[in-house]
Amino acid sequence: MKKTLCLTLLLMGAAILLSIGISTGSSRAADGPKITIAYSSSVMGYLEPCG
Amino acid sequence: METGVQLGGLYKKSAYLNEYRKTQPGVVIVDSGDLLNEDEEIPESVRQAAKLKADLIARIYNKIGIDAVNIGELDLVLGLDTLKEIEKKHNFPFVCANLVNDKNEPIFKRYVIKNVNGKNVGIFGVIGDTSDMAAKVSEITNGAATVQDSEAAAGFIVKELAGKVDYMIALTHQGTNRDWVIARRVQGIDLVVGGHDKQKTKEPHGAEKTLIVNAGEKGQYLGMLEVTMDGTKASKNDLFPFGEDVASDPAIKAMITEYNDKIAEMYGGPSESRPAAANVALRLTACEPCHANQVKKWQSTAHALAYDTLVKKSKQFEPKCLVCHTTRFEQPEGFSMKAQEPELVNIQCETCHGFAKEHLSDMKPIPIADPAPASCIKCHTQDRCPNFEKEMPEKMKLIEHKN
Repeated sequence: MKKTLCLTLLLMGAAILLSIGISTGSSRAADGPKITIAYSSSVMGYLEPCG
Repeated sequence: METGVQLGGLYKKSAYLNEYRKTQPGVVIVDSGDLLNEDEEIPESVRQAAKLKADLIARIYNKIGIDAVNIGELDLVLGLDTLKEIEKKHNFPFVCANLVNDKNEPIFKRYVIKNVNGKNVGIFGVIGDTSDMAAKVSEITNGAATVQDSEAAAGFIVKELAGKVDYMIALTHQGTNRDWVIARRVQGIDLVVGGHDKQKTKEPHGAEKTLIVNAGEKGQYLGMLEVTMDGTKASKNDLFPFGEDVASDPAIKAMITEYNDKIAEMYGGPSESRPAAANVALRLTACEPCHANQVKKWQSTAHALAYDTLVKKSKQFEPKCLVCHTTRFEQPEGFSMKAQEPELVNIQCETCHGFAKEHLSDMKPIPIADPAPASCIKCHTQDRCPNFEKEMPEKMKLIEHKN
């Protein structure tokens, strides 16, 4: 009985640790490096507005 | 010309990106083509100014930190030699994978790879391969350049760069319809930055795993796509307008002023000494003996002050502006960059009614007795005068001169 309780607690602990690990991993992924693409097209020689 | 909110200005683009990079350093700056020129033909008298401007734009873009620029057919109008000279002189990053010479060799680099925040970004360019575009490119370059299949070129590069880049950008110059084809058929492109058809997309189109974006025209907007480089490559897009409230980069402004001064020197010195309305017999004085009422009415309109508005902004040597602020710009016996005829400034009778030479000499009918509204829209474009079409009946009353 005692053995079973210990094993259950051990498994639960492992599950909690694993879940923390996964959640930390996801959070890191969401905060992963960012790049920004600044894009333009058909500027056609316009240095400044003309009108 | 009466205008709406005027957007654009390379000095604003520079200031905005400088500020942005202070908090977000990982920026890739790209352009999908038709960067340097607007006209399908460049008159000989304007060619020198056009080359000088192209050189200036390359220097400005290098200062901004441009990473890749695709080739558009309007860039080619400047001449392949000019583009190659700019590429060499300024180490300018032109890319175009499917524009080849007579030996089937790419004329420009096919792609570049930039490392940003530890991630490799591959950027390649393709120009449209429709029969129309291919014929146009061949004609513009006198056969020195040929367009190959853009889809095949894109596929080849994606295969070549597989495993070497974390993000793949295609700069296209072919119109949105063809962009959808490439995005759907060539697997492995993350982003298509479209060009040629001047579309503007607030929300990117999603074609399978590929996004398609467009940023309009004339540098009025800058597209900003932020991508999180995790497995999802989740992104957020914004089209940033360069309105009057955006700060300017004084260094870029100084470069443009220097260019304006050079152009003024090239075409005969500052024209403040010969403003439009000062003691110059304008060409329409030839019309006056028979159409005195019409000429008198014209004198009270904004058309009679069109050139002065350029002088006030030091834009009187800018061909782009002169097209709509002088009479019959670079047409036979019209205002020309070379001669800078003071009698042909402003929007005079012949701008709307056509060349009056035969009407004046032989009393033949004037070419366009009753101009169609379409002729107004050539200059009163949507971006310059956003409400013009809606307000046209009121606007026409301002220039009404039938009697």
